Amino acid sequence: MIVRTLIALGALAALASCARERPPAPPACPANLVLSAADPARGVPVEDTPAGHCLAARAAAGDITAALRLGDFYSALPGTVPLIDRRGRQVHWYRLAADRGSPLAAWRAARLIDTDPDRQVPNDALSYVFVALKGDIPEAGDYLVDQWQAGRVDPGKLWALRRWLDHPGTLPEDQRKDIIAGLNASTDELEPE
Amino acid sequence: MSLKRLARRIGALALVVGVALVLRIILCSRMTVLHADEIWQYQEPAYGLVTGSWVRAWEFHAGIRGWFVPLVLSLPIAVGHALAPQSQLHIYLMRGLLALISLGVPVAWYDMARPFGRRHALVAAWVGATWCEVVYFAVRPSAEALGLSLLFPAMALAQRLRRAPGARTAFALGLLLALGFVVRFHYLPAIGLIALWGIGHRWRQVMPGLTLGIAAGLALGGLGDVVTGHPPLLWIWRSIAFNVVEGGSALFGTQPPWWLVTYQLQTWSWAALAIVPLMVVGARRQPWLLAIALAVFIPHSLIAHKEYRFVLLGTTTLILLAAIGSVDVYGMLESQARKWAPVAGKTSPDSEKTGSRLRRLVSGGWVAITALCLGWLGLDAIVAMSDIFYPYWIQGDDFFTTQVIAGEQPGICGLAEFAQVAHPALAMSLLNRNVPALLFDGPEAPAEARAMADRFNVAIASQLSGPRLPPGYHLVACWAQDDYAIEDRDECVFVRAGGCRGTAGDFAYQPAMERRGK
Repeated sequence: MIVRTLIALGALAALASCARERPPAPPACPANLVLSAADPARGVPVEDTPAGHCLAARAAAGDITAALRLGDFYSALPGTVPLIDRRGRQVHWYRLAADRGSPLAAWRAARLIDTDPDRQVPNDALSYVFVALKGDIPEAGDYLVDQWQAGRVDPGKLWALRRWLDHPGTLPEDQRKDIIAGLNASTDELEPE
Repeated sequence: MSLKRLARRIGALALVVGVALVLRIILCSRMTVLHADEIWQYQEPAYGLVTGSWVRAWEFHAGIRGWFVPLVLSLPIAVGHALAPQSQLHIYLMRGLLALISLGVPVAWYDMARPFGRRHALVAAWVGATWCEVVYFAVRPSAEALGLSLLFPAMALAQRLRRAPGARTAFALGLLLALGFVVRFHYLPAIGLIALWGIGHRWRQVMPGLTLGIAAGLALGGLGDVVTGHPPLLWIWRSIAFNVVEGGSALFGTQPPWWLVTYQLQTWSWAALAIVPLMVVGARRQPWLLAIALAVFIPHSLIAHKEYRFVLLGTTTLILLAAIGSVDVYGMLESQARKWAPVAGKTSPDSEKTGSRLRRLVSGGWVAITALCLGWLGLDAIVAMSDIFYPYWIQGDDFFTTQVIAGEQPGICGLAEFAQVAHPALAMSLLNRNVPALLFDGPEAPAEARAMADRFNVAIASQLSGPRLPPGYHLVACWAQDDYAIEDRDECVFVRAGGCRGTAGDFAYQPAMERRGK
């Protein structure tokens, strides 16, 4: 029995290992690392500078803080940066951190991805809103309720979340009840996907 | 067999197949798409194999898509590109090939219903030729559509094999099942059932040929990966790991377990009131088909992410059952009419005449078949024109024809996808011009496009976004969107005079799209 269980677990692990290449060991970056806003202004992505390269390598290897820092760097650049795909780089680093479980990054990625109020919330943005909501970011719950009531979420796509919300203790009680009440409220006509 | 007898035997089926071909060819000329996967999972990589220029969706970076289907589709694309490289011939030839392959569906339905009678066979073939869900998918470069074209003939072979075991039939069955698995491995439970159906009790006679056929099919499928420089069939494991073990497919939306059934009933609309009971009657004749349909629906219902197209094999198998059931129900009515006619004859000469006429009418072979075929056309029309299905007939036409129009602009030297809602929004297979492509979106898109203004001279943008393009652009077309409100005209082609210089820089379409996780 134990042997069979171990074989099954081994097979599952082998299957999971097919999903993604194992990242290389993260290099160490200096503690006082500074990212310069002058480089993107000249059309040089910060990832191409030594400091940015170090952070990018760490982020690619799984360092959520490094990925968040790069996303925040592009978000905070003053003025317009017309020679750099600023939005794409923000989305990239926030998604990377969100995919590794950062609710904050998921929330920021969702807001960047969900841009058209006349359409349903895109699936990936909705999924990130769920991650943020479950990661105790209260704004995500409010946002979800607003979009639901505006007809921007297909009812079926909330099925699993509703089941999760039904369990007491998943979120602070008043917040959980507010979200449930908001999701039980009537909605506008469903927007196109 | 004499030629006359052969013509009589297959003439009606040939006529039905001819109708099927005409319907599919008509659909070939439409630039419609049910799902973006048709373009970016199959058509684009096939075009990329021929030209080297394609938009790589994230699934190919993650290694969760196979190369067998793109390799097959690359053959007509290569021919089309060689004959008329500046045209869309490559697309029409690709769809034409898919249409031809899909003719196996009505033939297989005929074959599967033949043991119950010629009437059953012809009605089943007619439904396979004309049913909107079969016809619509027949020309789509998608796993589900190819799954139908491979697995219905496999079912027909399984039924034959069960009656008359033979090495060649077993080999052909194994080959089709394996290719069906390579094309859409999610159908594995159904594929397993089809194999069991074919094996029956005489597995010793069947297994050698079947095993050989499966091995040959898997080798062919794996060859598609090897030829394109990828490990054979490893993508299947990666896909399962990503979608099931890691729950990756949930990123694309989740639905409750009953959704596939309820959505299918909504799709069938009022016709479901006839289809469901007929399907139950048909299932009494052929329970294997019901089991196969369930083997498609149940596993897909257990996966959180659900789409209508995923269970197409199950849906259409149920339609086949309903077609068989409809002939049985007609037969029952016929028997009732026979019983009623003599009774009527005893009452008065007039009613005897009426009863006799009625009996002749319902019993006449061609009358019965014609009535059933017309009945099915009626059900077909209800589904095809339903609120859910009707938009499919035009879905994507504006978006993808716009790509073609953009590519046909004289002197195009660079293309910008400007403020598009979702990506990928560019299909090199339709643009069909090897020019740099750029992506601008977000609040800084106008400033970015101005900074890169000399890198492109054609842009695709919504009509309202046009004024945010760099100076000098004028609107060329918003294809098939004249009836839309101006704020809904999302796909318009804008052009400026002059050439291009410089590179796409940080806005090159492929890396910019990848940054967005697409």
